[in-house]
Amino acid sequence: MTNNAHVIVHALSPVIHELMLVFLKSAFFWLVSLLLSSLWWFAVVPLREQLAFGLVFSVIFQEAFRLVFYVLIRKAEIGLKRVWREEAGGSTSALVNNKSLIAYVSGFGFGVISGAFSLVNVLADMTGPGTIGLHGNPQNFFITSAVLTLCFILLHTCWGVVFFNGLEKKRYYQVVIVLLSHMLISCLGRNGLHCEHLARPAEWWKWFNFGPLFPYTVSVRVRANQLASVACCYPSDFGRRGGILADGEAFWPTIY
Amino acid sequence: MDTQAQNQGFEVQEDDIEVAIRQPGQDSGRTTADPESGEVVPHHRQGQTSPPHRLPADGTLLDQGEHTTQVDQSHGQSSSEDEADDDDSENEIVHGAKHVIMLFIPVILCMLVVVTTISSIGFYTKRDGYLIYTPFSENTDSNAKRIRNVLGNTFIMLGVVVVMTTVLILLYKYKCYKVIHGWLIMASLLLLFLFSYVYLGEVLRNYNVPMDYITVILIMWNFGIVGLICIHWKGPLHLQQAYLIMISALMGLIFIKYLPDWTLWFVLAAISIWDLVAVLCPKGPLRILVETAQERNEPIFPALIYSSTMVWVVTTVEPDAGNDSGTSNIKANNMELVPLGETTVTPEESTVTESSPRQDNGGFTERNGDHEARQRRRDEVARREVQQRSCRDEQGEPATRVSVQQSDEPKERGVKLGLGDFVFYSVLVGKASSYGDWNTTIACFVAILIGLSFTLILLAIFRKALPALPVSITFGLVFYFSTREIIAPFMELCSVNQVYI
Repeated sequence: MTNNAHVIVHALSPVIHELMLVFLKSAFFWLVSLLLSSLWWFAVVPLREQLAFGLVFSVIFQEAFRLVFYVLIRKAEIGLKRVWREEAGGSTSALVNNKSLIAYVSGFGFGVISGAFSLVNVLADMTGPGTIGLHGNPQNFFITSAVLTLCFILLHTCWGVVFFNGLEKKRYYQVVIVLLSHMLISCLGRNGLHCEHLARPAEWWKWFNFGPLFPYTVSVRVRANQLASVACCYPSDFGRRGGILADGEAFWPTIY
Repeated sequence: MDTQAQNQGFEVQEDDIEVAIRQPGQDSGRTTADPESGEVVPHHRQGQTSPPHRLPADGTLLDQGEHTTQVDQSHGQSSSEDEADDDDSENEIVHGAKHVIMLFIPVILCMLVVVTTISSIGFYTKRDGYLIYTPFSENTDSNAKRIRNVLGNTFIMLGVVVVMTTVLILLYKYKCYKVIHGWLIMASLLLLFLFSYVYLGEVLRNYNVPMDYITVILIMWNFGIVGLICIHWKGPLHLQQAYLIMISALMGLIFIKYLPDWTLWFVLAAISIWDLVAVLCPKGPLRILVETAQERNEPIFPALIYSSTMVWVVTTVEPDAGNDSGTSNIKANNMELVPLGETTVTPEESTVTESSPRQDNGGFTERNGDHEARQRRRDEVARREVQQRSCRDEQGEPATRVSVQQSDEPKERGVKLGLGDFVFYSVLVGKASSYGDWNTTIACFVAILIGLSFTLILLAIFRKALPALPVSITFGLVFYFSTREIIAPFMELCSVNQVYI
């Protein structure tokens, strides 16, 4: 296991800086999508109280920006590829060869920034003068929020991988699946878990609204793993990589 | 008031903002000798293919015929010069990621220091008094009057900045180095002693830690003196960088504390516009500063600029001529990191190197990475001179590949960022965090970093000194106001409903 970790670190070290930049840029793209969806929500005054409206459009904007991000990354790659081809033996080509690295990192960027936006104010309140659960309010608000946020980070990461893979291999149904499942999962929270529900055991069934989330997370996770999100770092891929394919076709190191 | 005035003066200088990557190609237009005297002057390219050979295109170092020969030989049979140039620039972008991150780290650190301080120590968000530069109060009844006052404050601040910058440029132009150094030393003295003393006191008070005066004096004395030595004379690179980050953070905190709210936002906008003007206008003061420094082969004052990172010492060895030339020059690249302070190529040395007959160093194909790795010091150039001589003696005749010497030289490469950038970035983020909404802080944080990386991309494209404030500050301001007014309510609605997007 440590050996594997060492191999991964070793394989990533040449591209780690670029991956950080990809991470940051994807976070920024998520931010812009959030800005647009908030603007949209803000602009349509009559529906401002209807969260569902803002929610649906927010998901659409997010996935649209994922698409834009993908297109931009692809454009940047075309430029970089030529350089890397010259460097065929060089390690930098790991990025081009392992598209799923970029997919993974950008999905992770989406997830982290969205998780930060969801959770950071809750965390800040946690230190504050107030105490949760004093008036019979649910005491597990924080832990619920934290777990759900983690789920969403994971989901975003996996959505990124599936989404990019779908675009890469022109299996657009995967893109649609990502969009739909994102919509579904986000809307599940709607009316789902109000704080006051948790206070009364009789309403704990509301938890089951979130029931599907966890198995879904796991299944998407497995799926994304099949798409070789992590396995791409392994040296076996590097071994049979042999540089960029001559026709410039993307190498996709999966069994999928 | 005196202290504030001084401090202001320092600030004013600090907003001398630019990111400068120097290009050998550009340098050749302006200066005659390529290797630089100081430590802060970077070389943009890592002597790979063309730049060293194209450098002497102005004929000062080589005659034209030799120049073209070199280009042909080094690019071999396949790639034309233009193509090589393209590849080179792309390659720079590839290697640029590391530099971007290396520049991000200090910026992130500075912003983190300010944000942590703002959100944990109440002193810096408490209003008590204003600077004399902002005489008009914002607490007025009517909005019209408030706007007028804010604009008045902003113009006074900007005026001070402009005047101080101009004074600095004039002093520099007429070589009053002593005055400038005195000025800078006074300013950093203030920051290092007075403001850090205040800071220490507030931190101790905040966490209710008692400390006796003897200890405080001891700490402050050591901190300040080491800082002065590191910034103005020499010291370990990381220590110097740490001090620069610290004084920027202190400066930013002072701004956050003493500038009224709206004045601060307007000042940020005005400063970034001024930055644009000062760096890009043909007669802009900062541009004059940079160009004069380049002409004189001097580093810009270390107290004003965070000189990015490390010296990149590149050892390029031309591989066998039989190789396909497309890959050759990149493959043979063998880079080592050396702390900035350690490789100082003085002008004399560089002239020696430059004037040595170029065709004589052919056949120098020994891979010298290993034994040079342990000793890259001031005598580097001279030593290599010796090696070259010995090689020449052995080989006896000029060989076919002649590009080794230039690319063998220690190349400094890095990005420089004015301290003013650090100050205003952290002012923006710190001010954003002082309202207690962390989403705003994160948004500004990401926006500023993205703006910075965008500026660096522009830098790679335009290859001249660029203002680092406008893009970042614009992004930061846009995201500050939009997050505060639009995103925050939306996110609040989401989080109340426990909806995750």
